[in-house]
Amino acid sequence: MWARAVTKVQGDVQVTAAVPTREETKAIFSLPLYDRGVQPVWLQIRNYSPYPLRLALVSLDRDYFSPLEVAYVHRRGYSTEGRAAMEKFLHAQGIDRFTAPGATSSGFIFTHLDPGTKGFNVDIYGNREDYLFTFFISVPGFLPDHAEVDFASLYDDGEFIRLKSENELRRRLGEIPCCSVNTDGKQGDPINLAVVADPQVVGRALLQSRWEETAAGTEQTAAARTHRYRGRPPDVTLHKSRKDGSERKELRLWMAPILFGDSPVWLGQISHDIRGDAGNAAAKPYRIDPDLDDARMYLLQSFWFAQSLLKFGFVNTATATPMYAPAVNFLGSEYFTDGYLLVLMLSGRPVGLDEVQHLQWDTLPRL
Amino acid sequence: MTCVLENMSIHSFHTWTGVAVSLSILCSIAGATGYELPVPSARVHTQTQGNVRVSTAVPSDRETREIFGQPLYRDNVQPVWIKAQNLGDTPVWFLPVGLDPDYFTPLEVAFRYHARNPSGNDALNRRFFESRMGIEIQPGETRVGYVFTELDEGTKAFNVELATPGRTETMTFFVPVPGLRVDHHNVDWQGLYSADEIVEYDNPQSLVQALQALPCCATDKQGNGLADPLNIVVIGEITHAYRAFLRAGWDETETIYGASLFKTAISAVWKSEYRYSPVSALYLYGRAQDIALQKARENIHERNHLRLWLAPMRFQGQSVLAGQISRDIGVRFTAKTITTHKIDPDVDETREFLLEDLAYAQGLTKFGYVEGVGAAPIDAPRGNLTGDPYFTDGQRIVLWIASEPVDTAEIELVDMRAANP
Repeated sequence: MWARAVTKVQGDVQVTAAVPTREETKAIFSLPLYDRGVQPVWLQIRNYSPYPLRLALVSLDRDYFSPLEVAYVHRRGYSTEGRAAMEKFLHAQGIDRFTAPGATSSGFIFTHLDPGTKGFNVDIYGNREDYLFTFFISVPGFLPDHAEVDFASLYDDGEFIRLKSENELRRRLGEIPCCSVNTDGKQGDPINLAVVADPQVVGRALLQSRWEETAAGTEQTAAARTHRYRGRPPDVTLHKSRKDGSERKELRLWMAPILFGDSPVWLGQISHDIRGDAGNAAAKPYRIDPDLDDARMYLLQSFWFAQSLLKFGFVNTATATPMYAPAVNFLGSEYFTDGYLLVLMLSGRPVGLDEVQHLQWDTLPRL
Repeated sequence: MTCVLENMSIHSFHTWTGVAVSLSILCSIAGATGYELPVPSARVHTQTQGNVRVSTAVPSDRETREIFGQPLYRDNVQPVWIKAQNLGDTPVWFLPVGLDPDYFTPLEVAFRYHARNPSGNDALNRRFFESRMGIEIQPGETRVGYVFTELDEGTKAFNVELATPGRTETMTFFVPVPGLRVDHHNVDWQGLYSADEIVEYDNPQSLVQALQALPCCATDKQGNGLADPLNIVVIGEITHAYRAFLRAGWDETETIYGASLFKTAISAVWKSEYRYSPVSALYLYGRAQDIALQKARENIHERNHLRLWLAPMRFQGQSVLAGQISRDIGVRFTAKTITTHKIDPDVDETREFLLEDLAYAQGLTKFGYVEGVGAAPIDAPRGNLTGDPYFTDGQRIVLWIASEPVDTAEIELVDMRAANP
């Protein structure tokens, strides 16, 4: 676990994070936490500032488990004394939210098990100062699809189109290809998203709005990878489901050879798989919700409520397909759309609900 | 025909260049989320805030079947009818995620009722799609439509969030639905205390003293026996408090007077999520809690409960609520109430969770701590009424509720110990 620990520094604050595997967890706690859906994350916070720091546990997991809750789940089979000892041990392992000036605190936080690279935010608040970290820690046994992409070698330096103004960006985004294609060159889904942000900001925003990574080389990404842009499958595929499993949203992103200021522009598409009966997998197979625009608006809101959205606007790409004459992608799924590209400029700093700016570009039509 | 008439009126008022756009907009308003979409019931609730007027109604199970021809309630879907009028001169964005983060799309609902014979499916899709609520509302425009939400088993409590440049309007609605339980009790807040019973505090020092002087704990009905510790204080308007808690994903719940225990028991056995397990009554100021809220996580074993009472005091003109929060980590079957919740003994952990939960829902402006609960170390825990042990540092957290969204970087820590003489 320690070999995979990651350390980051911001100003006067240093954070180290590590995630034990299933076996390492069992060795540390003598409890099969992974079997119960619990994944411990170890943190060490060094405070070189003259003020006390406060860690927000919900920044790692909005529904984290408290140490004694974990103890309660594992209570069976213990004698009274044994159980008391186990509770004490787990409580002592939990990280303290507060770190005094000059001090170091360390311990575990018990999160929900992610089947992947453990991606999480660590938000720490000091004296009118905040330190917002994002970690992606690989856990052996899982490789997210984006780990297989060598982003630095995707493009030569000379290939990048460098844009300075929002007007240039708007004009350029009006010229991107309409859709993904498959290896035979047949049209897939519309590219109806452009995200402007550094990779770590994109990662942070996605974590904050609870999107999950997708494992490389698995069935989960098979369909997504049939979609190509510039001849390659998505650089990053993410997904998100309702608790009852009755639907699934899939977000596919590609880094484009476009820089806005210093930030890359990511092109993407989002689709929404729906199922006939809630929670009953056998009832009906998934199918794509043909209303692509609803999923696009969902993504807008998911960043908006997660304090990650700085600006947004729309570009009319003049590729509307109405509901009564839907288009069909290469997988045979019907869809309809107003043909507007949603442009999202993300922020690594929290943005209040009322601080989000709407770029007055193209006005959405009424379908 | 409405479409044409509307278009004609626009035509005569606007320049020629605007006509083509206006035409398509107006036709589709009438056709898709049109003005003609009827009000589903006479139970319409209307609020106006800033430049937006919002009316809402929630059709009952029977009314929903009449409108959509399908048993949506049976399938856990509850339509909410919204009419939003933009009275200002900038566009307004209606954000359905604020109403229900897991809302259903119209075609998702329609798909549930698709027949094997696909001939009628297009019509069904259209029926749902055309009744959906729109997102963007132009100046002077009115949009009407449904949002398909997860079914609530009692009063439908929800926020309607509307964003305009530099401003967010959030309105909180409590809509009783016939045929379902009543769990939102319209507390007569004005009638709880007479004017001379309420003490007004203006300086922080006297507030700290008053908050520290509150009893350590709630009690049973007779006022005997110490129940859970009163470790939270909420300062702000009551409507703003509801709004903040709803945005953070809390639901109002019913106090146990006998109902729905069977459901709780089933839910505990099957570990399925039943969002509305009731909470037992605890007492302060001689009465049961004024507000009972809960936040369900993955199943009934993982939920948080909180209870609040309006205190007979005001701070700088704002209401003060005192209460307690506990994290349920298990359910025990007991003779007394069939099921009782086992709480996390580390009640301070739960208290700090609440702070973070409200902060990340942009619902707080300030917070601080006062004494008054009385410390109980981990090696010498105290017990509540059901015999659950707990330990605490003895602090009470004081939470100032925001009247409008505040991002987490702007929240202030108030050093109330400095105010403590």
